[in-house]
Amino acid sequence: MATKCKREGCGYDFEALRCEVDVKTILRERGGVEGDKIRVFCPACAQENRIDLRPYGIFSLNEQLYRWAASATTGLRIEIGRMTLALPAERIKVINTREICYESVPVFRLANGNVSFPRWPVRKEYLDVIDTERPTLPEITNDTYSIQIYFKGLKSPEPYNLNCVAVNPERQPTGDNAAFEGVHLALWPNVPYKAWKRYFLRFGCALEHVRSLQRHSRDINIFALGGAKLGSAERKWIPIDSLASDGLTRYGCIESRPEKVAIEFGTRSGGVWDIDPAKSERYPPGIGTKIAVDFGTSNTCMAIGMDNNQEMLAIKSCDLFIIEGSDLPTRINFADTWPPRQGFGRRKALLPTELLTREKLEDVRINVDRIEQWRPVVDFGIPSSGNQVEFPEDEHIIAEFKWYQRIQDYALRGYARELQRHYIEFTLLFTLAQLARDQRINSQVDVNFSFPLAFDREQREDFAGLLGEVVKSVSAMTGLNVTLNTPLVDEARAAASSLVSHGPACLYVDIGGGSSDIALDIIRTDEREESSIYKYIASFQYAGGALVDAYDGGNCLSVGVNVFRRLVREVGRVKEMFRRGQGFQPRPEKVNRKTALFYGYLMEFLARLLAAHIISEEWTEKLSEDEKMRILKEGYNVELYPLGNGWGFGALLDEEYSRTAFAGDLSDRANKILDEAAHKLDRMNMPRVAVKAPEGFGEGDPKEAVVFGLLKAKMEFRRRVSVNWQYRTIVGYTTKAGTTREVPWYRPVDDRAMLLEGGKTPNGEGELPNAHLTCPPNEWPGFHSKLLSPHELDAGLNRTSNELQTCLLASNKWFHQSPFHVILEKLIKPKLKDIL
Amino acid sequence: MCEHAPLLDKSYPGCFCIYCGANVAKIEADEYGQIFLEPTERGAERRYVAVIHKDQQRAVESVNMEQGRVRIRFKGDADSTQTDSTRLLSAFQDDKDEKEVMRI
Repeated sequence: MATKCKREGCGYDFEALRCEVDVKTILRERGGVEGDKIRVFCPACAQENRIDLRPYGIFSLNEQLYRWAASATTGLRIEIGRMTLALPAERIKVINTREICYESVPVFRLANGNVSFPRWPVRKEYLDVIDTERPTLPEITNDTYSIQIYFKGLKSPEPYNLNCVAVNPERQPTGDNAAFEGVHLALWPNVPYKAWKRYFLRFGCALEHVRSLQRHSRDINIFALGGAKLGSAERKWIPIDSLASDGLTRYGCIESRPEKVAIEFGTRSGGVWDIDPAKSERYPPGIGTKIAVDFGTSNTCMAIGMDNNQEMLAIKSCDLFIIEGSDLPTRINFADTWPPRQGFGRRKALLPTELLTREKLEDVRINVDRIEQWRPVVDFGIPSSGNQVEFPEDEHIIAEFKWYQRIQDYALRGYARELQRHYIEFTLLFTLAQLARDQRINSQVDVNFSFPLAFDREQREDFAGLLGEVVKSVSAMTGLNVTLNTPLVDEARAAASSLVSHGPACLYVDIGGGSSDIALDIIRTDEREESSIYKYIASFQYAGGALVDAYDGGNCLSVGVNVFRRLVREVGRVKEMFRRGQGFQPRPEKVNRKTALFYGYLMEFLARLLAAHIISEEWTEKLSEDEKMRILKEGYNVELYPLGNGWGFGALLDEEYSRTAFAGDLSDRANKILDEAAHKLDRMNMPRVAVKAPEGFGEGDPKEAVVFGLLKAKMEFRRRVSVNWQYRTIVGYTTKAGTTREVPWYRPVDDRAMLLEGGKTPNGEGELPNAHLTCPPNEWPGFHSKLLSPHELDAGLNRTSNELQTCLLASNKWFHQSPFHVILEKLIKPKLKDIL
Repeated sequence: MCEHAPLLDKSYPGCFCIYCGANVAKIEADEYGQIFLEPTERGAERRYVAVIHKDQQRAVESVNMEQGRVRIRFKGDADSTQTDSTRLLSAFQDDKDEKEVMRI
């Protein structure tokens, strides 16, 4: 064949070169062999040229040269005209077309009755020798697998007739014994875009067929051809070998859409399946997809949409079955870390804020520093709804990592940030996969997160930094341009923005898993527009998780806390669980007492907050004289917005607890305090408080308030932020500093107004920074008659005084925190389990 | 010196190494009108070719090979004549049919 220099004007004919070329030297050079071509330089012009060896029956794989045994070329010398290529014996391997194929192929019976068999019976290492430009299709006839394959360097196709792998190796591979049942091979996610990079593979089997697959200690190995590293174009055969605790199901992570999957049974049997490439070259351009994520302590949910067209994102399967011999199991007897296929809650839109570890936690602890390298699916997952869990889930669950203090396992506490990162990354990946699968995504994605009010500045900045890292890595995994909408918005403001408020005041009480966020918002209308001003925003770690801990510590539960949490999600309503006897010990009076105490102490704070709002005359702000007179006569209406899943426990006390009983009791309690205030402070012109839940509120998912609020235009948040403090609450419990100074309970506290400046408080009264702070007994108002006072729970506040001192004077700030919050978090919360 | 020089046969006619493209020889015309190939390796022998143009041996004034294009200017001619690199390099090979002669 003519082999001429490719440089225009040169055209030197290598066939005329009387020269023996040492191919070994070429192979040793970097880039000396590429594909099936070796590199030679033109003797006349130094142009780089490639000589194709395939016509001579030689091909190259991974820089190894191969020669077909049946090839016409013999020996180790190839004559190209006068030029001789001297092949190195040690670098050329003689192969035959039988050796490179498996001896038998596995065949799988599909759920629809058809069979799935390999596209190629060729061993994965030799796939490149197939001449894919001359494709042929395999078929199964009479339990025999047949295909003709064209190989590079060979003119005629090679015919193959292979046996199927016997299900029972002691019998002939015919009939039912020639196809495995119940096997699945799934790819996640099923997205149509080539730009998407991160994929997961799962190989497993329905429980009832596991034995036939595992029989005779079969050594089954799965490999996928794809990217091993994000951002690298290099393709490798990646083992899918992260074995689940059932000993059969295995997972793998591939950093590009896998092209092929090899399933090998031992060393002799196997086959290769093709995976169809993604169809769309790129994501559609557009104005951008807007996503909101509410990363809760117990549950996380996502929403998509714009101002007035928002929806919670229901969690659905994103699986693409390569082999669908069975659906993925719903009876789970192992820690199944595959991406969730169904969400919890009424709209199936909730994901538990939990990590399900593939290994047992006791094994995780041994290699705890490996957490930093964790990848979804192969190391952890998120529990899915709709499954019947038949394994000790507690041994695999890491929960409440949103707050490192709440991570029960001390060995894992130091990894709270990593755990958060892994979880949020997977959640975001999951969300984007759902949208990409449904082709509801543009190349630009705008992600909105909120943060709990209880985060201080440092925590908030750290959280924003973490989210920044997450969106960067998720951008690389998906090929999307994901950006984080900053500044982050607090959860209370986000929730408030999703609602249209009426009346002079709105009280938002968001009881989540880890924190309760409280906001008192006053609505005022002047000639031009309605404005909304936060008077108080408070957040403390006294929420649903604390109540569950109290149930658990008080022996009210029949299961562990993590299983209880799953039951709450699965059943949806605590009351229903209680009725069925699921999760609870049959001691209703004890459960009810703890529930009533939990809400009772929270109500005590809220009542004082409302009373302080009235006593301080903040309620009069921007009201006309006529309006004030009307309110004094008719009462000050406060709309109660009970947000968050923590309210669900109230149903144990009353079916409509938050809307009716709680709101009514809160009014009564606030008014009783006001009565006491009128007497103690000799104040007459104070309106009565009337707390009511708005009509129709609470029909949607309690989690939607935050995510819908996040999706609203940011201008609305800005309009609402009319105060220059992060959060502001009340002292809550009359507090003494030293021997003389007293701060009444209704005084506001915020993190700026009370800064000690030269030992003076802003009102000029002298005070020592090291003054001893305490909340004395017998201060008015007393606690509700059904509640034990802090001094009854801790005589002389002996055990709490250090906490008060530390928390209130942190960072040399006077009332860094509200004493009432400290009492709630540090005294009442841990005591709830003991109080009867 | 190119590291591959030992692998290149003494009769290797190229100016560039077939393994790495390094310059291993130069082609010029001598004062007698013959073209020679001189390896850059010290001590290596020059190889000469006579040029026959239109059945007549001609003295070469200059020869130039750039990017595989060969231009020869004969003595007494104002213009140069082009030929292909294969023909020139083949002439330097110890070939029993066309020994040390290039016909253009």
